[in-house]
Amino acid sequence: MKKTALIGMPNTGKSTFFNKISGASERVGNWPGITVGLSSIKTLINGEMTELIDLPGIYSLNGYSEDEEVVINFIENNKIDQVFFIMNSTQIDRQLPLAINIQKLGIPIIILANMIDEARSLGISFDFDKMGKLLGCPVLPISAKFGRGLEKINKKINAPTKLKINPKSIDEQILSQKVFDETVKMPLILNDKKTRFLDSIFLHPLFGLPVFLIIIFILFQLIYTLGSPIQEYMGDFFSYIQINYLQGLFGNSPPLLKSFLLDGLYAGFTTVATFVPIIIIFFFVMTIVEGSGYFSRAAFLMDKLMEKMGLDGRGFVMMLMGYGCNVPAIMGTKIMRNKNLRFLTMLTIPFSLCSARLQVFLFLTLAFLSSFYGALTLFFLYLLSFFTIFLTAIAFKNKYKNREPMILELPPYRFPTISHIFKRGNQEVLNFLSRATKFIVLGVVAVWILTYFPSEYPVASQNTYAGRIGAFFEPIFTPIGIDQMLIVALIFGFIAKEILIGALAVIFGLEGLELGNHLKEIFSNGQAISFMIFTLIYTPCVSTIATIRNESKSWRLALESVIWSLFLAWVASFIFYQSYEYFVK
Amino acid sequence: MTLSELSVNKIAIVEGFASKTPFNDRLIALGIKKNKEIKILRKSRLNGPLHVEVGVTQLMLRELVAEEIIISQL
Repeated sequence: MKKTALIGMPNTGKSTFFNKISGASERVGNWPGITVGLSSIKTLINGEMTELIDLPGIYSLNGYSEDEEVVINFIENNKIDQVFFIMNSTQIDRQLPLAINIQKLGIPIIILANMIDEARSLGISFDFDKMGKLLGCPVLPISAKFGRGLEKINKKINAPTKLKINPKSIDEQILSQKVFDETVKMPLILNDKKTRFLDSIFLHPLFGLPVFLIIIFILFQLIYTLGSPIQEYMGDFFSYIQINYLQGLFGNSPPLLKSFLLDGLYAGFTTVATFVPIIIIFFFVMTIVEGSGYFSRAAFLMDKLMEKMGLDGRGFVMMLMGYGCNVPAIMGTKIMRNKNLRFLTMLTIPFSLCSARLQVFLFLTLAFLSSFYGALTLFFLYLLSFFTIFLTAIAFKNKYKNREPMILELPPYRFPTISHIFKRGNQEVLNFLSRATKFIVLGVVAVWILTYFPSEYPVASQNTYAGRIGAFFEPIFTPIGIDQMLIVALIFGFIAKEILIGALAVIFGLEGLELGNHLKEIFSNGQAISFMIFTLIYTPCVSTIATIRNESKSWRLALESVIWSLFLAWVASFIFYQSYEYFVK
Repeated sequence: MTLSELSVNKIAIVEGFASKTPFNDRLIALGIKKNKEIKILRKSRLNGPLHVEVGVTQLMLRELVAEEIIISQL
């Protein structure tokens, strides 16, 4: 089968093109010479089945960035029959040199001049036939976004073209300047009033920041006021099914099997399922923000602050989004193309106080504290969350140092097509399901084993493995006011932090108000707050860890996140609990 | 002079780069190359990043990058 590689610079609509022509056949596969998975599709081009491979966006072939290395290694290790080179028609002068450099490698190339509609509306005119003659390859104007010109790809390639291979001695800058001068007419003044106007608001020295915060607030509300209830309903629905149907169905099965199927496997798969709606909504919204060009404006606004933390403005947006749910926020870091920058951002996101943790805090503050002190405690927990993010960035910024100087394109404001938005949400969910499911289910089953065995004791009681672990670690946790049974609850909380309350219910055999009253009887306020601090910071939930590992392809980073957060949680709880004991008591 | 010394809305011509690094290829690919006109559209507060226009491309770049770009003012 013929192999065609899709190459282009970032922001040229390369993935839009790929999405447009890819049907259901798209798959992510591994290729010789590179470690990242690449999407590819099989499609009919020139009457021949061809595999089209989507390569990451690059600026040059000198291997400066990881993405450039990936492309170079891919070309070296795989026999490619031709390259589809996608370029942004408004920026031909600076994109042609890359195309010429690919020609110099001896690979036949077909240039797709994308965003032709946008270029023409800016008043730029082209002579593509002449451009093709000068370069020695077909140049086809297309609009991937609106699907225009795509049919020509087949026709033109069908016509026998003699592809010229440029000799290595050719200077790509000089040739591209010549081609540009002879075939492209730029208007004297570029007519992009819309972008200038929007920038004057969004990047305004005074109003830019408030506008940014309002936009983020609206996005946040949109994602989580829509997503969280769905997540909750799904959780309720799954437990309804379990109580009303599955319990009966397995009524006669041996208790061990029944518990394994329901509390282990079923709980694992339903945990995975509850994330689906929130990931879809998250990427709906993020695709719009990303595609609109606003993301890089947010980066501009927050850059100075984030630079001190070794991060950039885009990381800030992801952190804020993490306050809804850490999982999609970590998935969202893939827009950052630098590995260290991405890793550092991924380490900070789990400290964002997500809605699952908020549920636990609401329950406990209500049970233990008056409304005034309850609100104060919540406020303090949010501050602590910001502080731990800051501390984590500072602690790791030298380890994950981003050595690439900061330069980002600010593309014109655009609105992505609906089909692109849907496709992206769909892809991210499939990606999450296919990669994270097994780790999440494994994690849930592991917690089930710890709390169920040895099976002659009641679930989660002192003599189960979880109870014994609790007893073993109790000496370490006593200085922070957390006892054996609370440690067992924390082990449950590893599945998902909102399960903590359910776990306490199982451990003490009480629910709701009664549980709250009972907890207040046996634990002091100081212990309760210390427990909340620990819950805020200690190990990310299993879904978050699975996502970190999935997105970074690094167990090491996932482990680092777990160990660092456990350490930080202990230190924070220790400082709080000991000063509480000293000053308040 | 370097790009970091240019004031907002003044047009300058790119002359080259202060040092020879592989990163220069990235700058060239983004359109910052010899003899091209470059303009600072805005500077963010507290010595934050610059918003730069070169050709039809708009970029944000940090002060450190701007110090690497040698220009001559028109």
